[in-house]
Amino acid sequence: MARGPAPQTLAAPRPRPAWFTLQEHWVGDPASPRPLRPLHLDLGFDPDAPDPALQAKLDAFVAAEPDRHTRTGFAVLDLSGPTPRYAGHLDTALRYPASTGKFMIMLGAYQLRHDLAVLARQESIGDLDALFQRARERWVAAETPARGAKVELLRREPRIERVDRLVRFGGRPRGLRFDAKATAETKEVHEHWGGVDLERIFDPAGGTSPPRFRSDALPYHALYWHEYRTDKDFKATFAKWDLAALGLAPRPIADWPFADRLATMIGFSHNYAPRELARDLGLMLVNSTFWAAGLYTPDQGGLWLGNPYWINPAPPRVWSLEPTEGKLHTAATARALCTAMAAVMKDKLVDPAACREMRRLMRKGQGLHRLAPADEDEGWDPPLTQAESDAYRDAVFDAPERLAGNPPGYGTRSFVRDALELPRKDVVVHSKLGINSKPADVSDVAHVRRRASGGRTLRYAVAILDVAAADFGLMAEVACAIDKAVDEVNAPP
Amino acid sequence: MSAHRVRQGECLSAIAAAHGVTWRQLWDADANAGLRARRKDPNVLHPGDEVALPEPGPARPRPRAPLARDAVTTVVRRRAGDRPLALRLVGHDGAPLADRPYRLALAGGERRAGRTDGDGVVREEVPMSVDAATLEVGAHRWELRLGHLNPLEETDDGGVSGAQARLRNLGLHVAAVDGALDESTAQALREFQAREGLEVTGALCARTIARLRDRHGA
Repeated sequence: MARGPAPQTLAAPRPRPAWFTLQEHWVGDPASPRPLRPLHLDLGFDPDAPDPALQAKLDAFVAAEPDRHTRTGFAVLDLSGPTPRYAGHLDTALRYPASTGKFMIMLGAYQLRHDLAVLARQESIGDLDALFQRARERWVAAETPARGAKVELLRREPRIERVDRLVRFGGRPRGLRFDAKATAETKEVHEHWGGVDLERIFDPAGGTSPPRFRSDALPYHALYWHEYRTDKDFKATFAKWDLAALGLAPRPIADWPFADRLATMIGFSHNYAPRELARDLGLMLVNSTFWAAGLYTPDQGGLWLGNPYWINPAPPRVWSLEPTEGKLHTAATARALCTAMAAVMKDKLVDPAACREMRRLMRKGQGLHRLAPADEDEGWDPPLTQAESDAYRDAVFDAPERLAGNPPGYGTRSFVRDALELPRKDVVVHSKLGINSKPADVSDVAHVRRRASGGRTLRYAVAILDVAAADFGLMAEVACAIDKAVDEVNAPP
Repeated sequence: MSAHRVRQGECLSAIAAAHGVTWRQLWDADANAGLRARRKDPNVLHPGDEVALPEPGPARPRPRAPLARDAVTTVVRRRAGDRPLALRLVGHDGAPLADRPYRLALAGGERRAGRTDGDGVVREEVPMSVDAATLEVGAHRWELRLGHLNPLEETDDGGVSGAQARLRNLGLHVAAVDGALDESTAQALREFQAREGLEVTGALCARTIARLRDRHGA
């Protein structure tokens, strides 16, 4: 029996960031990394200086029906030739990205893993607990500006400034937690929101070079399907599966390990998965990554993740509305999404191994974004009928009749769409589609690699943001116009 | 009867030792009834508290432990001027750091090593003169300030410094233990309240105080 006074509790100190700060992020080999800098510099293009030929084609497309092009933003980065060519329309307009926001969360996840690997190398840390502790200390240390640090004005109206690594909005640092009074449904938003739940993300047996995401390699049909509330058709489809016969017991997504949630979020566009993932990652590091990569700038905005990615109900108050316009809790521009996708395709973000993993998650085989990607190695296909797939596809990508006479590949349908539904060997698409369910506005970010006539291989990144539900057909038309423009600017002389 | 005004870092045991009495004698003294009513826990005093001191009396004989005739009796005598240190250590996930080796470095240079028990508890007797120490278990490290835990109630800072120290001890981030209810303290409170299923207000209410005391152990 214990003697003496009752013990006081002493928990392992866990420094938690309180304010939004710009942290250190790295790219390349952890043994010799370099700081993450605006991606367009590494990709070799200037987004403010579009390629005249490519831009002219897109401008002509817009000019044919200007009234239809007042809302949707789109951008293309053609990587086919020795010099990247960029063009866009409303490409810096801030829009709600729908599920393309999940692509943003994925970027944050891989950047975190890499930054930890770099830290482990820099400070010779071989123990994962010690690495987590050190990382947290550094994140918190960034909140205290160096003595004598000057205030750097980043934007005058609204006022955004930085002092060393601390960012101030309207003269004040931005807290990483909600202001809302907790209710039974939302009290969980206060948990872990500013801090990174490293223990939930990484496998304790995984080491530090790099740390390994927790994973049970769960297949998609282990999903607890009725969490998927926004899609009645899909619920009906899942209900037909005999999971017991498959020997599977569905598990709620919150119980899934980090890597499996990540794969489901991207491959399946599962809506609860990003809520859990964003909570684990914390909003600070994800947004800090975007700032460092030039994917968010105070003068133009860009990728901003300010919300725990709820489906329903919406939270009473969000962490942070996007600072420049103050209207969206999650925001993107076509320019930023397109640039980020191109960087992933060209191994310019994080490191090549991470980019390969991200591409694999986004690889599209037969079926739409909510279906499991066809894995080239395993050839696994979901047991959906073609009719089910067609019904969903047509609702999103109905091409207007006037394009019906064009050859497949482009014209009737975009390569993006084709790759989603046809097992083509000559087109490879990595993409993340987004559909805002009420109303069902559509966004997409994709990378296309395909063979064109004359044996040329064309590669381009595309972002199409916020196509109104009332004009669904515009998605296919924009994608087709981009396909055609890229084809034409790369045609042999 | 004279009184001693408590300073930051002082504990009842140290005050008692300085005046040649035991902490129990001070605590139980009639003249300290008001102190008992206000503080409840003799281990947690606040700077400014008045502790009534006994009149100096004749030296008392040291008690002798009775020895059994047919058994080996181990007499353990506490070193004069020691105070008990009892800490239950938990990891990031809240699980006790049970049966783990620890290292305790006392201010002044003494180093000790031991093992936490099955509940993750470290028990040591620390000289009264030592008010700081470093405790390490694996990669975890705590800088201890002994005797500096302030009460949660009836203090001139509204219990804030006491709450700040307890929140920190429970692994939450508080920028400074200074008695000022700043944003980092409010956020730590919100986090604690959310974790405990309390109403999340960021303020120090009676229910939060009670829960803090309960979770912290003092």
